[in-house]
Amino acid sequence: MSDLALEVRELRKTYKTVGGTQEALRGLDLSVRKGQVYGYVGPNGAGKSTSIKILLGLVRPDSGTALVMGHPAGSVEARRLLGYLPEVAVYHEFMGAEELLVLHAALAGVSASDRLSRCRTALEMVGLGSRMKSRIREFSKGMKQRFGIAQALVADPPLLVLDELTSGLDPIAQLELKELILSLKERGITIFFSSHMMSEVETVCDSIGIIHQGKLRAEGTLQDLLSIENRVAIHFRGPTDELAELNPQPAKAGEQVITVEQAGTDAALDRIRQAGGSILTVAPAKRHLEDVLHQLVTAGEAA
Amino acid sequence: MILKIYYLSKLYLLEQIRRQVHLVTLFLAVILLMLPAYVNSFSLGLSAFERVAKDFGLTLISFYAVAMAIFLGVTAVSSDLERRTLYPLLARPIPRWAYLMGKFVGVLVVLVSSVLVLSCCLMLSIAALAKFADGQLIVVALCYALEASVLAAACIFFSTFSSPPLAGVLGVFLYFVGGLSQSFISFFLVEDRESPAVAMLARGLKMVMPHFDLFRVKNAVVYTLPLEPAYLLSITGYALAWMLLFVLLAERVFARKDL
Ligand SMILES: Nc1ncnc2c1ncn2[C@@H]1O[C@H](COP(=O)(O)OP(=O)(O)OP(=O)(O)O)[C@@H](O)[C@H]1O
Ligand SMILES: [Mg+2]
Repeated sequence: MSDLALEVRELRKTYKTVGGTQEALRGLDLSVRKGQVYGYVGPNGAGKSTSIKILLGLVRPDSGTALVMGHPAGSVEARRLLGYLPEVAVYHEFMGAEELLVLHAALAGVSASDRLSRCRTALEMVGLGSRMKSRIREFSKGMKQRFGIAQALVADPPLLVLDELTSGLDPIAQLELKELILSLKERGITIFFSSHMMSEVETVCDSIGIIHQGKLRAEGTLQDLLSIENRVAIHFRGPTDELAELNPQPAKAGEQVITVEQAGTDAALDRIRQAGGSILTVAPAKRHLEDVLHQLVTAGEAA
Repeated sequence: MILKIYYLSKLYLLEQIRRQVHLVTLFLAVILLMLPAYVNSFSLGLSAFERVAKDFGLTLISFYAVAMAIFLGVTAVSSDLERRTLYPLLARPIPRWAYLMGKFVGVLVVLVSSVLVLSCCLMLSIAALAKFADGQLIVVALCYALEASVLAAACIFFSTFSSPPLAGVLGVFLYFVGGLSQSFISFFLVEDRESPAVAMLARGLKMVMPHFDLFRVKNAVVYTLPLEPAYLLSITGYALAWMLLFVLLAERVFARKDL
């Protein structure tokens, strides 16, 4: 038995569109180990939802293989082990939350005696405990998203595939969600989610994959991706022309920033003072996931 | 798997009830129940009234069943597709055919139960005057339900590969061409020497379509002719075969579809 929860090889998908074709995936590879929290990020139209739908069997790939917990993606066995949050949160809006969830639990194969308690727990986990009887149509957007998460959790699957996890959630809900993800992870549940909230991906994920134009461009832990070297950022105010060799970049409100190797900090500070500049802050240079993403995307577009 | 189909049908039925589809049926039921109130305005004899009432009532039921069949058949899957409520459902461990079957069974239940309610109302209101409850009315109405069910299955099939309006038009077309009676074709089309091509076309088309005219046994009850059980049995089998075919075809298309 492999220890991979998701295993995707050379996945390709081209959609037929009105004017011709749209290549969505161009040889996507992914490996998500069991027990991992995996963040799946990439710009709009990168192919995240397409690949997730292929994992669910909602879309058929043109070529390549995808395994979900060792079963072919889209097979009933694969879906039995997986909870899915769709990108667009739409549920049968005339149904009551608990009522619909009970039906979902039944379809997922939860035994009749467990259904109601499972549903209540799931709704409470996402903070809808007080709205169990409300109809879905009476929910706000964020509440529908919460319902979606509950619906993914209801059968207590070992793998969660969540598309745009934080879409529409308020900051407090996002914090709570972080807690929820960590507690699920503690129970050994594998979580694969796509998100545009980089801060969240940075804080909860063990591993991150960056997809762009239908191909995985980078994969690894946060540390790997950010490749935090020993670099220092110096913010200062003052002349820039004379310091051109240090390559200063404009920062906020007339400030400039230069980034140098840690070993060269003193020399750089001296140069700035000599040129008549005044030092504002000296701090370790930090890269964010955004920067990595931006860099990969611009590099990808130039290629 | 049967249980899962049951849950899917239940979801469909609950949704339809919340959408107040059953109120349409009830509205028609009230009209049928009020039939005896027209007896004086018709100022016909009782037996003539009975005939007219049966004819009118059954025609109403058949139109209602057909309209419902097309509407429900076309919307059953496409509304889930368009609203994307399909995704969370199909993410469950159920094969796509079970999903289609769940929908179809749901539509079937709506159609048959509406027709049953309506025909019972018609029977009651006629019985109120004629002092005789004609159970054959219900049998005839159920034949309409069979016809409507085949049509609904066809519409589900159409809706898997075309937009809802187009699927509706295809359904209406199927209903009219498939429902042309043999005598109509031979009388008006085949005898017409001017356009043998049209007659050929009509015959050919009808040949590959469900023969809806077989289900129209209204005359039996309007003119109190006997209805052969063997005939009823054979058209039931015929209807089931078509339903199965359409659901299988729908499954073929649907299973290959990118959602
Ligand atoms: N049903 C479809 N028909 C045609 N093209 C599609 C379809 N769905 C997606 N695409 C195309 O496939 C590409 C990838 O889309 P996808 O939805 O997978 O992106 P995404 O990474 O989920 O983006 P987002 O962050 O905006 O959700 C896009 O170029 C999109 O235009
Ligand atoms: Mg997406």
